[in-house]
Amino acid sequence: MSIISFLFVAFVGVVTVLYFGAPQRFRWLVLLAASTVFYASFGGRALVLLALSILADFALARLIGQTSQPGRRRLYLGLSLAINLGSLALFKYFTPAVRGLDTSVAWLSFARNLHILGTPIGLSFFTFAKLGYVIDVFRRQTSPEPSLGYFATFVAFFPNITSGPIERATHLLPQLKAGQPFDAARAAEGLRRVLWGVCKKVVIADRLAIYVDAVYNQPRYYSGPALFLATLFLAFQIYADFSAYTDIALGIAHLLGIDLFENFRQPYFATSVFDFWRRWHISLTNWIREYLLFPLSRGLLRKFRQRVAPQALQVVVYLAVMGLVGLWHGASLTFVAWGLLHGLYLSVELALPARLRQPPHGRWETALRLGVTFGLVSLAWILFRANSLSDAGYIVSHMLSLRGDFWSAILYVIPVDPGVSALFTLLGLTAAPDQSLRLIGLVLSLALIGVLLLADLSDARGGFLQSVSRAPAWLRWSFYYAVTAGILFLGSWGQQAFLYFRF
Amino acid sequence: MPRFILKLLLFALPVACYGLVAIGMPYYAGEFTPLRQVAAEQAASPVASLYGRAYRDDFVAYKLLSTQLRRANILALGSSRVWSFRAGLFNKAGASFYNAGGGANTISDLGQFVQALAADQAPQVLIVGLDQDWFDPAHVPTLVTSPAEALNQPAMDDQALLNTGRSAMVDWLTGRWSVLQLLTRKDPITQDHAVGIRAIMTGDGFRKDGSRQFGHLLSSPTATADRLAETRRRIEISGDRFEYADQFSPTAVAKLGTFLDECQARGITVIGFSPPYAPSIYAEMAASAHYGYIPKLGAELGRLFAAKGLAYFDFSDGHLPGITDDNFIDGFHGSEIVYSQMYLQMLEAQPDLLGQYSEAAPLVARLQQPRMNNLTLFDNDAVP
Repeated sequence: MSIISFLFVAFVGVVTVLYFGAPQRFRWLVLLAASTVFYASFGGRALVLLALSILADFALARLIGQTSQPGRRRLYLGLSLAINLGSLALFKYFTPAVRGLDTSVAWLSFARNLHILGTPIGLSFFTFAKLGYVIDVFRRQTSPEPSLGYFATFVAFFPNITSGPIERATHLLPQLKAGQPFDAARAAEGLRRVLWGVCKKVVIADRLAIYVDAVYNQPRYYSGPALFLATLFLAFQIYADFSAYTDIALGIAHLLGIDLFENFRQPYFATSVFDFWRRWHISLTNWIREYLLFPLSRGLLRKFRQRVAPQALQVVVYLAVMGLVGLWHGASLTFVAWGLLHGLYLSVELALPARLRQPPHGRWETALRLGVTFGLVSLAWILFRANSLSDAGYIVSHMLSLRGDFWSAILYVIPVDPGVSALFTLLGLTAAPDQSLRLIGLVLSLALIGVLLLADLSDARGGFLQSVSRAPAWLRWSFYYAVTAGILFLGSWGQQAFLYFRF
Repeated sequence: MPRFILKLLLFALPVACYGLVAIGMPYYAGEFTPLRQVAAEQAASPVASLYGRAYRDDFVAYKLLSTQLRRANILALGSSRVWSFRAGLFNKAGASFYNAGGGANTISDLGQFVQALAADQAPQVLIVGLDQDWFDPAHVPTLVTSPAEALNQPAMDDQALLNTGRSAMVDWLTGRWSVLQLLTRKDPITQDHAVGIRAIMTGDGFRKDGSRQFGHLLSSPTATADRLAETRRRIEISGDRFEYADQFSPTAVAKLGTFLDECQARGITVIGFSPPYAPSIYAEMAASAHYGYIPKLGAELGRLFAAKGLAYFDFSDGHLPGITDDNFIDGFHGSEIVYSQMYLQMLEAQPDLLGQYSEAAPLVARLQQPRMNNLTLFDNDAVP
């Protein structure tokens, strides 16, 4: 069930009515049932795998909580790590790798045949959520959840199971148990956010995706300006796509009286790569920092402090951790390279003079560091999106060259936009040449990127949607109808799945 | 909560109005009716009906499904240049005809289309239109769904619905269709039942026998010169099915030979023909000396069919009794008057084969009667 579908709208409507209609102590049950139905829509086999993994971690956390013997506790933790990371490795990396193998080796054949189960949707996300919970129990930062039902609802919560944000049990479980009463203002806020998320997805992200996919799937057909434009669009396509999903997930949760973690904080206003990672996919960054980066740093420092300079150890840690972050996104060298490049960026930033590691002073320095950071991040996105390292190399080495006429090179990439065509038809400009339509399409895409950035700027100054909520009723409703009209008339209805759905 | 729901409904009201016009009206008009249902209703209904969608061009699948349902003993197959054969030509009892024109747009498509027919769905006689550009080595076929893919097209999903809704809304706002006319669900030319916005608004669509009704030409006739202008433009630029070539493609001829063998193996008798160009258009093409491949192709196809004991007719020059440019839809699509004359020639040449299905005298008499226009021969009432 796509979250951009009439069926999902009806589904959320029914769930909301049932949720608030149910007695407070049974509301979690409505959420669990809804989450089960939602996840089952992706396949019964995936649901079985999810259920088994929930049972395993629920039991192991309980066992950790019931024993004080360090050895036993570490054993149960190890089992949980093995099951979770093993599932991730098996379904996400190993099974796809052996799929094409012609082998009679029994265990390889078994692994190969597992591909019929597919990769369970949201595997990367709910695995980290469950692991975080088990580790928190091990560290005694939280006590094991006594109710299987609540725990299952926490893991399978339908707004965020497929693409995050990665929640913490200490943050989500109490809210699930509280079962907030209906609040009209909250509901309006939630729906506002969902509407804005849908707009970001179909009007901005999917429109940019058409250009990006055309170029990145066949980069050698395109000249420098087209490669440059597609790379610029890519940066905003990824952001609009991923943040749109987050908006929809958080909006639905908010409608139900539940607050999920914010996942983005104006990432392209970052003035360093460290700052970028405090603003991008925040729930993943926090998870990595808490459960991987800090323990690894501490461990390595403890072990090698006498022999290796701490700075060198930090470089190793950042490269290793960011490489794993790349691998988390997918079993591809390009993702790993993307992660390693960010690891390199962070390592270099660590070595910068202290003055440059502090926040910038003044507008010019801010603008310069903003530009440099955006450039570095966009360069890394090339690796994230390219179909191969060779394609990435080609794009990087050619995107600043000009072959032929500049405007033709750019406009050649831009398809005739159905939304723009519709607009022209309404204005009676049916005889407009293709070039005009393409130029308008280009201008529209750039304008929409501007809208995205303006919304982020407004967010940085107190909240874009909050300012909408404070506006007079006529302005608020005008905004709602303008966004809805934008979705209906300018939406790119071309069946583009959410990017992070694959992870 | 009740007040919140009220506000939500208030917000949704204009959106629902949009939905009613943009999606509801096209739905009512039949734009989203599953093809199987359209094909089945047209096949089963004793009355005439017209099918013509405005927003989804899936006539390959439509023709394949209809052919599978009709189990006609005579089938016309090819591109849009086969559209004008009418069921009224096959006037003997026991004759059943279906026009699958548009179901095949390349030589490969011919084979795929026939392969998709089970033994009891295949015709006894197959009249195949062999477009000249199929054998033109300079011509690159436009991407059209092949018969092999046609039935695997994805069903209409939410996104396709919204795409269609947008187009429909723009067309409504610019006056291309009206709610009142859609509510009639009638062909404006014949007042028969119509499915699809194009059929209801312009009378353009496929009749029950699979032939094409060019409603826009019947309701708003245009001058012959205007109808041939686009073809002249294509000849001038050597483009869009009128690419210059001096030789035909032997590979294409070989492919056709394979197709003929496959049909013969299935007991299907093929009658081939090269469709006509408007006489003045053909004369211009011949005079230009850019289309040397066409007469050579005619001779080659004649040899190919004769070698297999099959009949072939080269109508490329459009020279048929009583036929002028006025009888053409455009420069390379003849009307049913043209195709009726063509069929009479086929009938005369193949009395044993086609004489089982048609009697020439009534057709000749009909052609000699005064007509309302230069393009149609049969009323829909005359169509079985």
